[in-house]
Amino acid sequence: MSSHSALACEGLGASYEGYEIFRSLNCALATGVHALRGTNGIGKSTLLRLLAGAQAADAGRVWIDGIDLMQVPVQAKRRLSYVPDESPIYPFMTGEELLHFVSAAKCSRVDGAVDDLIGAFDLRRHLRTRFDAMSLGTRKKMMLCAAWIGAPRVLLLDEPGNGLDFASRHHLVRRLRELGRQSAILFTAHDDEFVSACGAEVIEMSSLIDPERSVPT
Amino acid sequence: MGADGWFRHWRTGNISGYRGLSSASRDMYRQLVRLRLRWYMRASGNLVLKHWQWFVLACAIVPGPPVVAIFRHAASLLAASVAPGMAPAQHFFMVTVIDVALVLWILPQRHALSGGSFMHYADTLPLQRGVRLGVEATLLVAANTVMLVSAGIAVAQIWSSFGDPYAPCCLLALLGLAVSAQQAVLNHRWIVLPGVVLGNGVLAAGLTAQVAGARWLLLVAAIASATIGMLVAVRSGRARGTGRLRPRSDAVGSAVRILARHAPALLAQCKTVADRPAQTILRFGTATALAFGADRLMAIFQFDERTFPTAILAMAMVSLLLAGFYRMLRNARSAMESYLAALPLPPNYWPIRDTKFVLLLNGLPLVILLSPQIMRGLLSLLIAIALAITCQVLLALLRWPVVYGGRRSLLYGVLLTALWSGVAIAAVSR
Repeated sequence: MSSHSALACEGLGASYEGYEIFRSLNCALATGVHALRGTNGIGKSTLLRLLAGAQAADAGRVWIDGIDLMQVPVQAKRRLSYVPDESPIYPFMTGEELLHFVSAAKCSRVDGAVDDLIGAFDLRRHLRTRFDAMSLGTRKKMMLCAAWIGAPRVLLLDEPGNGLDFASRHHLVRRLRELGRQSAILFTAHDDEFVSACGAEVIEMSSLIDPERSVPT
Repeated sequence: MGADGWFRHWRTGNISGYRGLSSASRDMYRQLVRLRLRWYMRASGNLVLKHWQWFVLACAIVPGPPVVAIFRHAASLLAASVAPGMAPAQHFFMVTVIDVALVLWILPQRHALSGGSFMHYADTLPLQRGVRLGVEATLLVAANTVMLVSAGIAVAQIWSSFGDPYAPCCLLALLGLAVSAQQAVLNHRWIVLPGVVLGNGVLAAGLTAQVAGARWLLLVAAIASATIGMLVAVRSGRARGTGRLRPRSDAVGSAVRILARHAPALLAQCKTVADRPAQTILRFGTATALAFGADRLMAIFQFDERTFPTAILAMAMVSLLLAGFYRMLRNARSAMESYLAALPLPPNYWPIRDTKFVLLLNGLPLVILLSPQIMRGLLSLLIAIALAITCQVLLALLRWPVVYGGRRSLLYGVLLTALWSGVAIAAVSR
């Protein structure tokens, strides 16, 4: 499972303050767009954090493009991009500083695809704006642009459509469909319209937690 | 250069990915350390602004010229810990006290040192291990600047006194052990601490060893002890954060369920203080220690006429210390203030509950302070109860300066406490 899927995990377990969120969770995703759906608090965001290496798992292993995230995190994370639901960026950082930071971390550069996305999101005038002076949607757009740096093989997005205006949302859908041809994209969303516009395969979180209880989609 | 111009320049410019890996790592280190230091300055600056009174108090209490005296006294303590002429147990005690002091120094800075929620995002980026370690080490040096200045003075003192490299090396080893303890506490790598304690013991043994070879050997063993502890921690993979994920015991779980059902406000208050263990332990521990210290002082005075003023002044200082909990409880709720305002709660719901909670905390110091006098018949039960009640009234009144006094809260608090102390001493003396 691990070596053939773009994104895979095995026996993944997570808990918070002693409460178990899930255990022995397995999944294997090929290239394409996948939408993770489930009720509030079921652990969708936690799963994305674990898959992205933003949170240490209690148990289990994660493979990004066949590379073990726990064993060789640097190589695995070069192939991965993650966009959290809320912007965790320092308030004093500007948009360009974030993009520069991420491109340096990935030993990559801001290529045409990212440049196009910056243009499409109308972000050029915000490149030198501090994060604490940006609106919620602008912050989200900046984080999405950073996610496109380094042509990731795996893209993990937590509620990517939240806070975006109609035009930006439409453009994001188009870009997700394009990237989905060569990368595995997993995003959480409650918006069925957004999910179907992306042509995403729906994965129910409950069926990952309890494979016996598979819900038809 | 406008944003567009900058962007064109950036796209065509020399990006780190096209240079050598070490150059990329250096660039990454520079970027990350700049961000982290900026965040550290911002967060620790806020901390200083919030608690500047403690720094003023420290300057006032430590004898000698302000600020300079703190460094000099800290340097003297560091130098004394490795100076010859003490028993191994005394060395061990002093070394452990320095470890504890440095851990207490770093604990309030842990939010500033953590890098904030940005580091959760940065954790998903392919940052080299060397870059991370370098940045963490730089931050730790920045956080320990006060200690390093004192250590520099201490090394100069030791060198001029003994002219022997052994004692300065011991001091450096002691600082290394203390930094290991700081790292262990910050990253919840508790497995490192036994190695540090063992290292302290070995260092203390080395300081009293007679044979030169054995002294140096024990010094190396002390460093090795802490290093092994750290390597074990790294290998066992107890990374930051995971150490906190532990199942809650049944007893705690039941207590939480009962409080959640019958006293949700009290549960919120208990969780608030439990969520800030360093601040809570420091504040409540100091108040209790002060009460015990006053008891000891009264015993030294053989319960003569100085007993009552001592007890009253101790009660006043304990009240000042515990009044800080009002701010802690209020600040914890500030994020949800607008939401709470929309709930159908009676007016003064939280102020009344906060006051009750802090008065409850004052119970233990009051018992410690008043029970010896009641048992010795120096104070009638009625007067003791009256004194305790007025002390509780003082603590309740202290909520106003603490909550509404802004940056003059300590000043107003001290004035109120001084007034109460004067009246109480006059009343009890009659």
